[in-house]
Amino acid sequence: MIPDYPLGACRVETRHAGLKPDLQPIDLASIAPMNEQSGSMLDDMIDSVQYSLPQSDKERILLENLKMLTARHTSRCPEYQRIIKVMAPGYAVADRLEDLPYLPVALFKSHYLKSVPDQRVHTILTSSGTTGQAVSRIAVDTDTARYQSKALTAIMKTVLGKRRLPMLIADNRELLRDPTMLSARGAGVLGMMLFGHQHTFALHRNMSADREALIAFLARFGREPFLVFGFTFMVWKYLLPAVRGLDLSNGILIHSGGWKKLADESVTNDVFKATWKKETGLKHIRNFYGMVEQIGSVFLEGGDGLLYPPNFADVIIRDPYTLKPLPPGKAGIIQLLSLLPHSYPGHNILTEDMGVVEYKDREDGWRGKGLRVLGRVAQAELRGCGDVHAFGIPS
Amino acid sequence: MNVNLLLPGGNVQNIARILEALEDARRPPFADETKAFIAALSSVLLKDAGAKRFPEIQALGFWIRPAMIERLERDFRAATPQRVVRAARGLVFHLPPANVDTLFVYSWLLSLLAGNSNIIRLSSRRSVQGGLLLGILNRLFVDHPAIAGTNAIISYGHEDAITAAISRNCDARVVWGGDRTVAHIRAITLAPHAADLAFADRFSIAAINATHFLSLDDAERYAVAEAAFNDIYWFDQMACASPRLLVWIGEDNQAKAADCFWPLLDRVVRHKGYEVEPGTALSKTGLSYRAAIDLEVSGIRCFDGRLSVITLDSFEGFDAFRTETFGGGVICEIGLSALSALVPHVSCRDQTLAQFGFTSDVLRDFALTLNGRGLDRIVPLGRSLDFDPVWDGDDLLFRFTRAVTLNPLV
Repeated sequence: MIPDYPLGACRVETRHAGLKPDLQPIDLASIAPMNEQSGSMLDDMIDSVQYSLPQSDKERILLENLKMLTARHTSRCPEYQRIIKVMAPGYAVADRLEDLPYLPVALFKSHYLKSVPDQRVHTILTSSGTTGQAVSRIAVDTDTARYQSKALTAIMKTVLGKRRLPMLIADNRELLRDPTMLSARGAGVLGMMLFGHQHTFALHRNMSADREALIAFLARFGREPFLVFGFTFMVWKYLLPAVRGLDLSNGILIHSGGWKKLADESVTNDVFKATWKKETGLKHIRNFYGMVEQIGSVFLEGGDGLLYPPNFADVIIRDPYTLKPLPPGKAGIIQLLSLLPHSYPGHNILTEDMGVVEYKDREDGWRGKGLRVLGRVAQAELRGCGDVHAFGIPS
Repeated sequence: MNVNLLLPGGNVQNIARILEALEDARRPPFADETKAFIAALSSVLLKDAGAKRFPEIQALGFWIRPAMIERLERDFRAATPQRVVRAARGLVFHLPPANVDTLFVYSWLLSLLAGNSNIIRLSSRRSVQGGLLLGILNRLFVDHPAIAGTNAIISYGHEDAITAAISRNCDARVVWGGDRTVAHIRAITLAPHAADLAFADRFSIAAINATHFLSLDDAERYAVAEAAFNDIYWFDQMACASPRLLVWIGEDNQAKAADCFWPLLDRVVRHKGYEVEPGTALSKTGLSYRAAIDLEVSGIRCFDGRLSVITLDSFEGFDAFRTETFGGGVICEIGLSALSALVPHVSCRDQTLAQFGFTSDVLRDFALTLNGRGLDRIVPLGRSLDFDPVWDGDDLLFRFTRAVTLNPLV
């Protein structure tokens, strides 16, 4: 199952007014540049055209810069330092990306790992899975938060262009009612709202469609490009039935989240796209994959249906048993690498998802690795006396 | 309130009716028909083609053989004073651990031998072994109607009301499981006169005499690794008796013994074809990283997904870490100069010490120095998962009976 973005229900504790959900449009151009040193590599990687960097160039750049990030986190996060000391004391001489140390993503549930002092933590992103599971806690400072916005903008610009488009949200307005307690859907919607204006919520609180709002929106904006955003199962289950037969041919649908519920109904990505096109004319559809443990790593769907890392991020597939890197075509555990996480050591993580890299540097498509996510690794089920059947996640 | 009746039968029944049928169904301890049933079960378990695939079922069949039952009876009668008559308690309610399928049989049979009627609640999830056992028992029940009429195995959802109904009407309740399960069940009121037995989270340790180990030849060393395999890998290392810490006792040779031992164990693991799911492999990886943060780790050995060994410099942080749940072949190790050096680090949660290479004198001294601090049993390496009627300090046969005194003590 492709995990919901962010992982599970995501609660955002915001400390400063600046990051409170502000429903007035924000002019992106007014956000000051992140870094005074304009030569910063992360800025370059974000600013340059996405998906046009050949894989070998990317690996070379990422190798050096991830080493620097690893050094940074080693010197600022005591727990991370202990790990590096045991697991990879010699990482500095690594000559391949694959040889850099990574963290299993569950570690963010068992420990609060951060590389900045408490006062500098601007936001704590938390995610909780099903009841009984522990939460991941991700410490975000102002810099990392702004990098994240900048990165998301650069990524979405690829498919949305530079203008903010009128935006239809496949969710309900109550989602954002309490800014101190945002669920996964709320945080995702809030992030995406930066790319739209005239934000219109398509659903009522009980998930039934707000038919009047939909018709009004389409009447006013339907003849020009507009943005539709929502979580995959929401978009399929609650929005589509309400717009069947209406003309959404100018719409661009961005969606994220698990395919599991749809898979239960035998709805694949192909069926999803074909149905939307047939019933509403909407044909510009893009999925994306990401997780709260590596914010900013939004893997956007390319024209070929595969998910692509942005310039400043990458993916490696590993055998779950040997943990050795696997070549394209072989399925294994997804490892994510990114230059973005500065305030917490999330720059190199081993997820709990299975995936396969189908292509590297497609000739006729986007550069970089094209990823297919296969689903979540099944929870460990060990027999034994205890009542904990799945070990590994402390609660 | 309805439950699934798994034995005898296979349909849904009202719990009140089941309780009614099991009322007043006592037998004398070690009754002939009870012994006949157990002998028949032992025979089937040892011979059944399906059962032969599972070593823990074979171990069960062997353990409950007539010779062992006779031994239990002899010990039971010998330990009962003249002035005491032992009688059954009545109806015993068993809540065995969710997934150690054979454990419910040991608990149940001891209670049966004590003369009780029994209700056993199993989880609704069934492993292959569990299904096999139920099938065998159902068939045997046909030939043993007296036993069939006074015992039931049921399953039901998370309905505390059913647990409460049975608890009100039983004469003893025995629960196995993690700390949380025990706390949850204990919160459900038990009939005032009923005995309350609980077996909660435990931790177990293995100890190897490094000097002795290094003096062995290749074949003998491999045999030690095979014994360790049984202890560590049966039940996916998730039983309370599964060692999660291995202590090397020696003098400047502990590391050498370890370097020799672990690859041998890995060879056994490969030979036995033990495999874990990717989810478990990931969990083991996660645990290693948590150990790197929380413990004083000098190194971690990984034999792909088969075995992970976390080498500790000291016990610092270990008290908190031992409550972590881990299994599937991940173990901590540490070197000490003497078994006595382990004593300060033993806690009341510790159950079993599986040892190799120590004299009985050394072990006796160790037990005396421990003086009840922890570790209820010391067994030879390879025998951790043997069942013992004295479990976690409780003599089950005695706990399942009442002692009726005929004359005063004076």
